[in-house]
Amino acid sequence: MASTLIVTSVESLQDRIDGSVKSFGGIPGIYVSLNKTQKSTESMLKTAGVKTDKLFFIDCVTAEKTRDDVLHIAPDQLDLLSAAVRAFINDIKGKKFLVIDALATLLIYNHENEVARFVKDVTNAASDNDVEVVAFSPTTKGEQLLKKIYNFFDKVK
Amino acid sequence: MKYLAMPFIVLLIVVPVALADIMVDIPQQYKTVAPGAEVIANIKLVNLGGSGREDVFLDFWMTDSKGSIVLTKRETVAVETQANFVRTFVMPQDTKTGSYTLHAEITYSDGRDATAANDFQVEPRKDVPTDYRPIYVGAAVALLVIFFFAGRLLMPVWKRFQIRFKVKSIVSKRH
Repeated sequence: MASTLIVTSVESLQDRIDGSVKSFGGIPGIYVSLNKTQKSTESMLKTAGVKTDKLFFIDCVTAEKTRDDVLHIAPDQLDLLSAAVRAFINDIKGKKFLVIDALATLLIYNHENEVARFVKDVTNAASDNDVEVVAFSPTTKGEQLLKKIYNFFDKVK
Repeated sequence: MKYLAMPFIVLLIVVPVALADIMVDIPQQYKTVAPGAEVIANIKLVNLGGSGREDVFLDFWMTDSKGSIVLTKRETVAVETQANFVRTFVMPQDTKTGSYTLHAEITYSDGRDATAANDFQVEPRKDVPTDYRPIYVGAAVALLVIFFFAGRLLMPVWKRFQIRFKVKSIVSKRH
């Protein structure tokens, strides 16, 4: 399975995410929400016609628990975030995908080397379990980070 | 009535008599001892008027409050005019508590003698309470440090475990 980093403008970010998630069809997916709350993200996906019933959300924006089936992890706790992604990868049976919606947001809370280590850890876990990874990052943020993590992805768009 | 003053002649005859004496002093810190402990006594011998240096018998014996002898000791010492020395007596381990008397008698070769005595108490051994507070405080501090570092080490492990458990729960509900 491939891992892809999509660097796009802030304006077209949501459209690219919607399109990407929709392209996976009905298979289960893990959605790491870094720039919008789970509620907002799910709402936007639904508006775009994406089925969200098979999406497992990790909400890194708000700690407010609205649903039992949503995991809330602070964006500065990369170890826990990585552990959660690995746990979802292991526990969801069959084909699945992983979406990280705004990778560069992690730079607000963590050093770029830590973010790079997190990306490496997650892409390795995905690769080991045949999980397709799509990570997004707005072009305006984290130029240095993007340079550091390019190599961890099979494709950069 | 007239009194006739009569002259009196007082004749004072001084006969040389040798004076012997003995003193027993038990220092305050040995006035109360425990069974098995030492009793130290300062002995002072006086031999005034004696004919120079001479050997004397020195007897010690210890009696309890009923007068029963619990310890005896005899030795010979040389005395000129005065002698001071210290003697140590070890109380037997099975000594009963109560009041005791240390007697000392000096006997010269010419038959002169003198005795002295001094009392002391035997009381049960008081176990000196060891002050364990520094040990307790040290142990508490060590435990806190251990808990602190163990907590720092184990907390992330515990949190990851919680996350895995929660993910399993979420996934199983959906499936």
